[in-house]
Order: sequence, then C-alpha cells, then structure tokens
Amino acid sequence: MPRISVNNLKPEMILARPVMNAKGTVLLNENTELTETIIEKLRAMNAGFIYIKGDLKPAVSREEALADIDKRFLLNHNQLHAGKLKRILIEHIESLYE
Amino acid sequence: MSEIDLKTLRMRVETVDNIPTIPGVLKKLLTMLENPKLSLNVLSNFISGDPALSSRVLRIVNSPLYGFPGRISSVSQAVVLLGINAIKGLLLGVSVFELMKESMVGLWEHSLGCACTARIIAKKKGLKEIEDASIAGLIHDIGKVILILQCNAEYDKALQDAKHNNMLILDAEKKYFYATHADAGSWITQKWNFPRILVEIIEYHRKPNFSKYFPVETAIVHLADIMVRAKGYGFAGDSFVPPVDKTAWELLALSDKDILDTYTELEDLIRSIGDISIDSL
Repeated sequence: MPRISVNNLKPEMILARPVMNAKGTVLLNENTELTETIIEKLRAMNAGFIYIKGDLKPAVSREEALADIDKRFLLNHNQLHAGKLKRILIEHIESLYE
Repeated sequence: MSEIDLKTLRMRVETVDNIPTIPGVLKKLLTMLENPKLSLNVLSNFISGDPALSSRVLRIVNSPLYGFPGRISSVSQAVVLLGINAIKGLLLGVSVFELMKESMVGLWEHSLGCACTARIIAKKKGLKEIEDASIAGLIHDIGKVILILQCNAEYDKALQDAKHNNMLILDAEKKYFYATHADAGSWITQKWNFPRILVEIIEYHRKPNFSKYFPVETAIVHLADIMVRAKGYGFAGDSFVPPVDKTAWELLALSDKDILDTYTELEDLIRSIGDISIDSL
C-alpha cells in the first residue's frame, strides 16, 4: 500500500485509507477513485501524503534496470565491497518487479 | 590544470555569499550563522519572520524524512525538537536547494536520497543523533554548488570531462582545481560556524578513513552516497559508483540483510516523499 505525495497523484488511483481533515472528519472514503477535481482539491488543502491501493511499478523494464546497474559499476567491478553492494542492489531491484 | 590557485579558490568559495544570485534570505541566514553565540530563540524568530522559509521548514520536518510526520505545527517546536545543529543544516539545505536545482539537475534528488539513506543506516546502527547523519547527507555536496557558483567555467569543464571520459566527478575536479568539492564544502561550513560533526563529514565523505572524531557518522554518509548513486537516484556529477572505502565498510559492519532492508526502506521513503522540490514546498 504505497503512501505517495499529493504532487504525484494521478486520476484513477484508488484511496487505500480515508482522507480526514485536522479535526478527524472524513472528507473522502476508502476506495474513492481519484479524479482531476479531487486531486486539485487535495493539493489546494495541502494534504501532504495519501495512501493509495496497489503497487507502483518501476518506470523502466527489469532488463534495462539491471543493465543500468552494470554501467554504473563500470569503474569498480573488481572491488570486493562494491561487488557485494552490487549483488545486494540487484536483489533489491529484482524484488521491485515481483 | 587549473588557472585558479588554491588561495584564490578558497577566497572565492568563502565569499560566495557576496554573489548577486544568492537569495536575500539566504544571505541574512548566512550572516546570522556566522555568529558563534547564535541562540535557538533568535534562529526560531528569524524563521518565523519569513513565511516562505517557515512553510518550507514545517513541510520538511513533517515529511517522512523525519521521524515525526504530520505532528509539528510550529517553527519553535521544530527548532526545539531538531536542535541547533540539525536546524542549521536544515536551513542551509532548504535555502540552497533552489541554487542546487539550478546548478546541477539531479543534485537535489541525490542529496535527498542520501539524507534518507544516512538516516536509515544511522537508525540501524543505533546512533543517538540520527538527525546529524541525515542533515550531513542532505548537504554533503554543498561544495559542488559553491564551485559551480564561483568557478562555473572550470566546473563545467570538469563535468564534461567526467561525462566524455568515463570519470568520477571527484577525479575530474582534481584535474581542474587544486581542491575538491569536499574541501570547498568544508571551508564554507567552517566559515559559517557549522558544528564540527557536519564539517568533518562534508570534508571526509569521500575519504572516511581520515575522519578523526566522527568516523561512524562519516562512514554512514560515505556509504549512503554510494548506495544512492548505485541505485541511480538523482545525479551527483557523474554516472558511476565510487569505490567503497574498506575502513568505512568494516566499521559499519552492515549485514547483507541490513543493506537490503535499507534499500527497501529507501524505496518507500522516496515514493512517499515524491517530489519534495521547491515547487511543492
């Protein structure tokens, strides 16, 4: 259940938790589908962070992401600790595509 | 090799607050920070007196970057909770990020990522002053901003060199300057009376084995910097992962799981912070 900034909200995202004002009054119920109008209102009231349903998929493909890692480690592929870090990073990146 | 000798370079760095493109509020802030007897009260009043600055400080302390999201409603509360060290760094962070965004695209994201990562690692290591590590992460590359502002043409050559010849920006800096961004950052933060811990981390974040008084904190920012570059979040002047310092790595002794968890937590933080940029503050 990602929590994202109101600046990154997009129409058709579904609320995973209700949105309340400072006094605790529910303004939007859980499962509300966001529209441009709702998003504008949330931004206008400085809502901050909103819980939405589902997973956010990474913007690039798994293969591209892994190839980029290889490029970034170009200068120190033989270094012991960097090698270890790279292996763990790959594990992390792969988990994002599961 | 550089035509700017070391003395001239240092002088240029230390007089960065005289250049006209620096926003007025930052100038006032810098003058104030130079006073070694600056009190929390004075600092708090200064922030409160500037609505834009207040709202930035409150937005950032209520963001997931800090441990108390959504609960701090006044500047004085923020100042007391964070303490004078962290608030000095934070103020510098929020005031320079306009400059940061203009001077190098991606440097702000890199810095923010580094602040988050340093914070996560500091927590895992059970550090008392988590904010120091996090703030140091946020401003560790301040020297790059200063060098770009004061030696634009030379820094641009260094950037181009790094880009076309597959070099680290630090090595390119050494070709064009008698000092690096880490030295520049250390000079300027000393001049601004920054706490010793921040100065030392900034100075040694690329050679943490030199850190004398704060080796753990310096090692944390060193590793955070590398981890964020490895993940490809933001841009710090080159597209490569710098070598991991053996001393720092062994000092932190993080397990594979610690590192993997740090990446997972960072992913969540980046996602939830979204675009903490000047436009959204």
